[in-house]
Amino acid sequence: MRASRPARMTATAARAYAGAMDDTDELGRLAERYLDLWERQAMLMSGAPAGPEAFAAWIAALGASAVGGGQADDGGTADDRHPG
Amino acid sequence: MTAAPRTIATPAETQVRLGPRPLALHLATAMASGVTALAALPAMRTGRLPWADELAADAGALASDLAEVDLNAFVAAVVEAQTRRLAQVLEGVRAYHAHPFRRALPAPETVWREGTTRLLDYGGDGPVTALFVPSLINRYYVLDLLAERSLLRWLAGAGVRVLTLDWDAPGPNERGFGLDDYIAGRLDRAIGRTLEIADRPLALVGYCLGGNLALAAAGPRQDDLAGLALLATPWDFHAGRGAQAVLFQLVEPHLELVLQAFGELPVDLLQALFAWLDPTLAQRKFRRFAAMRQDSAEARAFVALEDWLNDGVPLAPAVARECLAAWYGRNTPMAGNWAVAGRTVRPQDLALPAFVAIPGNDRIVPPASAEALARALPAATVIAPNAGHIGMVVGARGAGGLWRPLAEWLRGLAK
Repeated sequence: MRASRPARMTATAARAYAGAMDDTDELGRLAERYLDLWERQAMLMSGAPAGPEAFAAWIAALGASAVGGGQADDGGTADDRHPG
Repeated sequence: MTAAPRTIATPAETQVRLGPRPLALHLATAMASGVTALAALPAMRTGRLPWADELAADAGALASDLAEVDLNAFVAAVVEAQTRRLAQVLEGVRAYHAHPFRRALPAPETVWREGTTRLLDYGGDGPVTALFVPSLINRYYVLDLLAERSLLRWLAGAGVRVLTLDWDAPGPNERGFGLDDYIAGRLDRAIGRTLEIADRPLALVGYCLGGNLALAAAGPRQDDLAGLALLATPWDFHAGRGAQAVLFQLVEPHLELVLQAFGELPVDLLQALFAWLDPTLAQRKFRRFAAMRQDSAEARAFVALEDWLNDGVPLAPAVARECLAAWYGRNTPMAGNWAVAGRTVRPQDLALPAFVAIPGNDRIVPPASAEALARALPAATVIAPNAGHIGMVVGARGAGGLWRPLAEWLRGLAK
């Protein structure tokens, strides 16, 4: 939820505040877009028009992401997904 | 129809609402959806997440927009958005539980009964009789949900004599039933009783899996019937459902253990299996319900339908094996391996006039599954209403999409 603007604020601070709020709104919009996509993905993969292979690939990608290999932007390797 | 002072009593009238059933599963799914969305974020940002083809362009655009965004700040925004969504879901569920609507319609006359099965007479005065055959999985009254959204009452006022079967939940005897008992036994005898009651051309009208029952019953009864209507009836159970076919095959041994342990397929487990079709559907619709005016007609219709959805019945073990493992898992109807009372069910051999309604937005029975049946029937009139599986029979657009074409086709059978 967007906070109300403090009553006393300099013009510079007001501009910075507005910019920060715009950033927050933009992040919120991006987050909503992502979650909408995620829900549609769950719906489409469950309906599985692309077949079981696509469903399995999606589940595998989730697993890879969740255990660490997919967390690193360098792509990770099979080994560093299972440290120890 | 007999004007009786009684009204239909459904469990929703007297019991506390528990839906969307199973509630714990839907709430856990909502929370798990949030966790998996976060877990997948890094892979999504770098384009390594395999999106569905339909979403690939949107996902690519989002990844591009996120390229310069700080990941931690975005994670925080996603968590905040998820929290807001879950709060909306819970608000919708609370509003549903507290809603004052209770279904109360004049009860149709019961004209025949055998075990827990009843034949209900909705009256109507016309040249043809329609005997509705609902699914064994859900109760018949989706066809008679509200006074203004009742296919049965509307048809009875549109020149068709209307009766329907009410399978109800299996009792002690029916727990030992298989599809043969329901189709070659109960349904066949209900057809006989209907012919006695209404001496005019008779059409069977099957809805959803009830269409499969009606199709199988019609084969040996073709001399007694004038037509067969199949509404959103699946035939190729693997069409558009590749992953679910695999899942149903994988869980078949587990299903057997459950059936042996409970002596039935419990409603909540059945509902959970069907939640696989669209795991986030409950979240989406209860968020939508939370935003509705609670005294609106839209909210009332939502509650009526949700009450029906949550008023399902358990399945007898043999029926569960045939419907879930054989139909959904092994696709026996399409493969020509489904037989009732020793007779293979072959739509190709049906000489009766047929009517097939295939709702274009059906997510429960993919249109491709029902189209396979339309193609197999030698003489089918096919319509494709712009509606979903349930909306086709109860939706505000039901009259234009299904009801009128069905009534015209039925009345035409008498000519």
